[in-house]
Amino acid sequence: MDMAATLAERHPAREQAASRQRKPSLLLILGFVGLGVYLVWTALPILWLVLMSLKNPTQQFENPPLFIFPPTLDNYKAMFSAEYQEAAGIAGLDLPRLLRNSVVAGVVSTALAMALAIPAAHALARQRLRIHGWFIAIMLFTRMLPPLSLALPLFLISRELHVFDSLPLLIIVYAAVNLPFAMYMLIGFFEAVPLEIEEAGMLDGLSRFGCLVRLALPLVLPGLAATAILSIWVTWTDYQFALVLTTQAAVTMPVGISQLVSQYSQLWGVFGAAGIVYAVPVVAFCLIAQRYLVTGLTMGAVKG
Amino acid sequence: MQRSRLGPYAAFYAPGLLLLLVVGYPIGYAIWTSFTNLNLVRNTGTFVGLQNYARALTDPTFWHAMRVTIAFAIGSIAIEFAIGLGLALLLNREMRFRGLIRTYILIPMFFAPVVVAIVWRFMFDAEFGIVNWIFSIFRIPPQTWLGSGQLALPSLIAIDVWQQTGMVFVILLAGLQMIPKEYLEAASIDGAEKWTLFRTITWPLLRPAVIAALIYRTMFALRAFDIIWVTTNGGPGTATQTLSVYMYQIGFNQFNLGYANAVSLLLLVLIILFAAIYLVVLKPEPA
Repeated sequence: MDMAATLAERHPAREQAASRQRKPSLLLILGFVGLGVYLVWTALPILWLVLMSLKNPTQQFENPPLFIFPPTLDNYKAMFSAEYQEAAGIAGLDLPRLLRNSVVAGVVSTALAMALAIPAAHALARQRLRIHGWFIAIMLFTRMLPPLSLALPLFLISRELHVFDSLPLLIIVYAAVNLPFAMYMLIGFFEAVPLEIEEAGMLDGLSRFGCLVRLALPLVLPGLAATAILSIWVTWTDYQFALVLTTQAAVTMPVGISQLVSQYSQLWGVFGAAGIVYAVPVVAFCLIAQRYLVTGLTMGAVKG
Repeated sequence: MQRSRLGPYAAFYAPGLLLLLVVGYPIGYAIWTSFTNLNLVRNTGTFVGLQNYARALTDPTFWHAMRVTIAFAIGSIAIEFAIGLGLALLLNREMRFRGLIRTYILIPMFFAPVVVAIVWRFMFDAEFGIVNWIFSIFRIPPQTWLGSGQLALPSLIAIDVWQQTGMVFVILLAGLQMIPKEYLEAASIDGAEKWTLFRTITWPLLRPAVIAALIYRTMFALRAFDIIWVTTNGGPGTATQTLSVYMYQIGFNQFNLGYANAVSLLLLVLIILFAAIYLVVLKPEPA
């Protein structure tokens, strides 16, 4: 609220200009009230997910809703132990297996996308190739493509090839979907590496590949991490590909989680626990890498 | 010599092949099936020319889904922009806890949409949901929210706004930070009013970021599926049936994949059309 005052304090030279604004304007006050409301509104569903995960079924459907109650960890136990699963009636939804599927699909597809994207992005950043225009077009096209538009034909093709409902299928699809965007991000990071470093490396007898591995890669490690996290995040939160391309063996968490509260089961508490377990690692990762992620997401946006 | 001409392109063989197999071929396949009457149950797949497209363009349900899709996109993007721009302007000033608040605003976008939507479904519940409880404090009678023909779409827009405003905020904030401070300071010392300042300096310079955020959000809003499918299934009735929901239903409830692929390609055309309109109408003014 003491915006104008702080401004003037820190920058005496601006005092004159700021003095007109010393009394916070009505607009600014409204702005801060709005910000307060927005912060509460943002917290509410997250708080509610946490509370859901700690409530037993009776507490869950209490009206008015309970904010303070003796918490239970049964929902978390139900996710991971067989007896609790049976007791909770979710034996059919083996959540640890779905979680494993999600981890494998996310990690392996990201590793694959990165392995393919790094040399290609390096080549695009370092050599004047004539495919730059093509590349941008392909990148934009894959970004605009609704996942379902790709999932429908992939459903038909994978059934004919007998790879439907398999993790390798999901992995390859996720890798391909993430590839163009990963390349786009990596090109930006590679271009920031001074050319001289690699030229010196070439003079010392390193091959182009040697320059990439020994000189450029160590310098873009933070960028690599951000690109990988973004790719894992896309895979981790995907619902449409998994919904269309899996039924049993390769089902991932988002599809499984949504089935916990279908017409047949009303396991809101277990849903809460699964939601928390599924969200915490990736949200934490994204927040740690926030600075790079935001650069990555907006880099293309603002530059293009 | 042949080798040296192809050499620099070697890094693109594998990525190119992967994209060709997993994106290029399926899209070609989708285009082909959209000209057939492929049906998984009846096991047909003969060429029917433009029949699927003609059916879509004369199908009232298709046009209904188109209206729902566009209403959802316009409603959510308008609100996300109003809030996102306000937040960006506010948090571009110096203030306490600025970094912390900026980070906090991004949290919703890192959650899986499915999880977010189901939490909201629980919160929107007519009997024991917290939304009705909060409204009851202000003496507003309980609503059925997602179960009501009139309120279901606005409720879904609220969920989308909760999750996606952070994205608009962060793109616009990046745009604001690229505006040289000297411009604004010089003008403000000249005594320009805040609104004039915003209109003549901030807004024109923010334009590339605005276009970027608009294209990004439109691309995702027009394909809206996850949060709708796990909350309302397109209902009640067809009140929240977007094009994505419609094509999923034709494809996997009616197994009519030829028609579903035609609808899916029309949606892709719609998205590309919107992006092109933004680029033409909002083209950044030459500096």
